[in-house]
Amino acid sequence: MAEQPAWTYGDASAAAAWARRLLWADAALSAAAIALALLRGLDPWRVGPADAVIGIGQIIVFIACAFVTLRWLYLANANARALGATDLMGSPGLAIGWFFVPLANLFMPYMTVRDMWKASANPRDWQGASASGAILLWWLLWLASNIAGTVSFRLWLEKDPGRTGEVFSLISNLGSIPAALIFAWIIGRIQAMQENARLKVALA
Amino acid sequence: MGTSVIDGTIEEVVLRRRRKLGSVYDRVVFRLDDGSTKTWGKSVVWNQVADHLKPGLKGRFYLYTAIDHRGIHGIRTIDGREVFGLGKVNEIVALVLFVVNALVVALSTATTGDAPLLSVILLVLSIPMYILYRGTRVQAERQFHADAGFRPAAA
Repeated sequence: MAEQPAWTYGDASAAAAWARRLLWADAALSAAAIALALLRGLDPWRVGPADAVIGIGQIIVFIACAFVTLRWLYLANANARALGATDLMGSPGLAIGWFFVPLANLFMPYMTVRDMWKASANPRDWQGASASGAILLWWLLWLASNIAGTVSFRLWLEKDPGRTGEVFSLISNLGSIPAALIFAWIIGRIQAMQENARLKVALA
Repeated sequence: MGTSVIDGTIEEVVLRRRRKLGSVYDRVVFRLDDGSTKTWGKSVVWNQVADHLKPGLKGRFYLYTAIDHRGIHGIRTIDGREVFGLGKVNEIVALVLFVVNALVVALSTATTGDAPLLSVILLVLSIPMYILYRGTRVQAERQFHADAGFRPAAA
């Protein structure tokens, strides 16, 4: 029916498992950062070695998490197409690329994940399927957390962040915990739906 | 970014809004010839095509998927109607974005020695936007015209 390139189903379960583990680790480190910030009364001049360790850990886990999650997004997007979902917008490469396009990265990653959910739930008629509201919640939390994090970082660059920078950092960490946990759940659900759909195809 | 066709009958049409040039549909549901259904989600349809989209219409439906939206750009019905509609609005918007932001960047650089970041971003983005929107329209036109002479079976 559709004039689109054929895709083959690839195993994305390992990428999904690692992405979820790293998202959980990200949430745990954010919780630790919040605890440390509250223990020192949000005073930026009382930052100690523990804060530095947590901060470096957050950067390392974020980079690893971004790499593995984007890899899973690519595989899962390609798998949705392999399962018969035609007319998905863009391509698996663009599903990743949207995160790096200014302005478009404010809404296109959300639309991509939402469509992937639908396409995994019912590949043959995915546009008629409904998506979980958790996807929008994840995306709003992710945006809020990133905006607060950016403000905090810019204040820190000004060398005199004061308590305002700490508050924005706290907000960023508070938002990133549910965002990470919800996205881990979304990955698990999409992966499970795709594996079920693949099983149905194999048994048919 | 892509085109496809559906051979079947429109079962349900849910219009969200209609403007002077085009209409936006929440969904158009087709009953395919094999008995299954296919839903075409939120889509942009030019009014020359939208005027014909009614439940019970049987024929071949031509669909496109652009970089950020999708739509129906043509129909060939069992009673011989052939309609194509896909405008250049998105391309024009991309061109206007390019020209306006190029001017802003040039003037700003000449007067203050600095260019606004937002204008630079929009200037850069307008180029692939134009290429992709134009590519989608050309592809849709080619697809529809390549099928000229096709007459869907009534049965």
